[in-house]
Amino acid sequence: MKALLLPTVVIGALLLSAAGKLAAHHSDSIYFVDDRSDPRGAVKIEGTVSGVRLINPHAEFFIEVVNEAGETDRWAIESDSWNELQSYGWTDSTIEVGDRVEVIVSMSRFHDTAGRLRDILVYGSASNETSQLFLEFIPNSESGQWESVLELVQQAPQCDGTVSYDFLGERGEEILVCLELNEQALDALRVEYADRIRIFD
Amino acid sequence: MLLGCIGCLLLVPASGQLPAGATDFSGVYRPAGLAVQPCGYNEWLRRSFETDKFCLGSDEGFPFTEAGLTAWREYSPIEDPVLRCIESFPRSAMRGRPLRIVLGEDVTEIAYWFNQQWHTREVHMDGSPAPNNAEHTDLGHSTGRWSGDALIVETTHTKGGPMFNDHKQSSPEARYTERFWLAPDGRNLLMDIAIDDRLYYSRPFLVNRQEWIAATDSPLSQTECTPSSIWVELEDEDDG
Repeated sequence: MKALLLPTVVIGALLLSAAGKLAAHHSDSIYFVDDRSDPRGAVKIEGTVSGVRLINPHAEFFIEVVNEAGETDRWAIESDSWNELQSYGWTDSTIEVGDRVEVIVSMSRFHDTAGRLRDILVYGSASNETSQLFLEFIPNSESGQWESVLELVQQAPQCDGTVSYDFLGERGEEILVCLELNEQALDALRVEYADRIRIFD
Repeated sequence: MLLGCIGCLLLVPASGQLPAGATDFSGVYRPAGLAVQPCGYNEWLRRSFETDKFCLGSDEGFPFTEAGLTAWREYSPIEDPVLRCIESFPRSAMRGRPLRIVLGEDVTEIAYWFNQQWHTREVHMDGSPAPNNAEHTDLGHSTGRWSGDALIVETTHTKGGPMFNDHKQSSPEARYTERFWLAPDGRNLLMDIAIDDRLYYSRPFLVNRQEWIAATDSPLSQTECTPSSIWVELEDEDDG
């Protein structure tokens, strides 16, 4: 699993992605609590992927999550378009049914178990397999909320096959950065960034 | 990952002579810029081609009637047809889609490229109004006429619904007036859309103004739009 795209394919996806961006489907803030500082803007869930729809204009993931009552909820997570995800280097095996994941979502304004994908940690399927962490990031943002993410993405190895970003470049669009982490690195980051990056809380 | 080619398409020639003073601007265009009125200018090629980014959900400047304001405030975003990959007029004209115009003596076609196909409006150039029992459709009933070098298109019998991504509404009773004319460079196309919807707005006003770039060589996106299961299916579950 988790093989990422070849650069030539990424370029093609970027071309399509540009067209897709011109016709954004809907506004996040109408459908989701699109503010990480809001308690419902960055909710952490953990579970197992039970469905994947790699579609445009928004890819969808379904995750089985055990709630506090011990019952299983099926969460529906909306993401960027499949074109955009491909431009980040995603393939149809980046997230698969059966994967164990931790996800940061912005809650839906209409459903209790639906949200917008912000960050996702996809565990390796075997204990010796690396995990992939996808972090939302805006390069050179005026907002201070990305400082810790910048610090992290500059020191951790990016996933093979993902696009190289200029993290300090001109203020840009929101991106999803993929980091390849083994178990030891993941444990270290959980300690170092526990209070600063939501997915490590 | 297929890309169509606008230049590979053969435009149907105008079916007869255009009236004196009319300019034959039949062709394919891509949007160069968009101004959402009265909320301000939408800088082209921003990340999102979303009109509400510039209105920010504000009612400032919109001449709402009480019914129009209520329809907007009470609208459930989950009902938005775009979640089901349906783009109705006038929204279809304002979402940054490639535009194809085929001018004709009897019928002019105005089409928007979306979801791997052209969505075509037939504009009846004889000025014949819609029949009394005409159904309201996603694209409405359109009649056209020339005023000097400008094509004037009047549209009625739309379904109404969200005009913008922030879901400001138009009613099925709305009448739209579009004007198309060639830009001074002789290549690009200019357009604006006014709405007269006395149910939801107290006076007619301009909702959209755009420049379109002649684009015979631009690719047509072959991206398929798939309805969102997150919104559509969850809504169905709620409905029982």
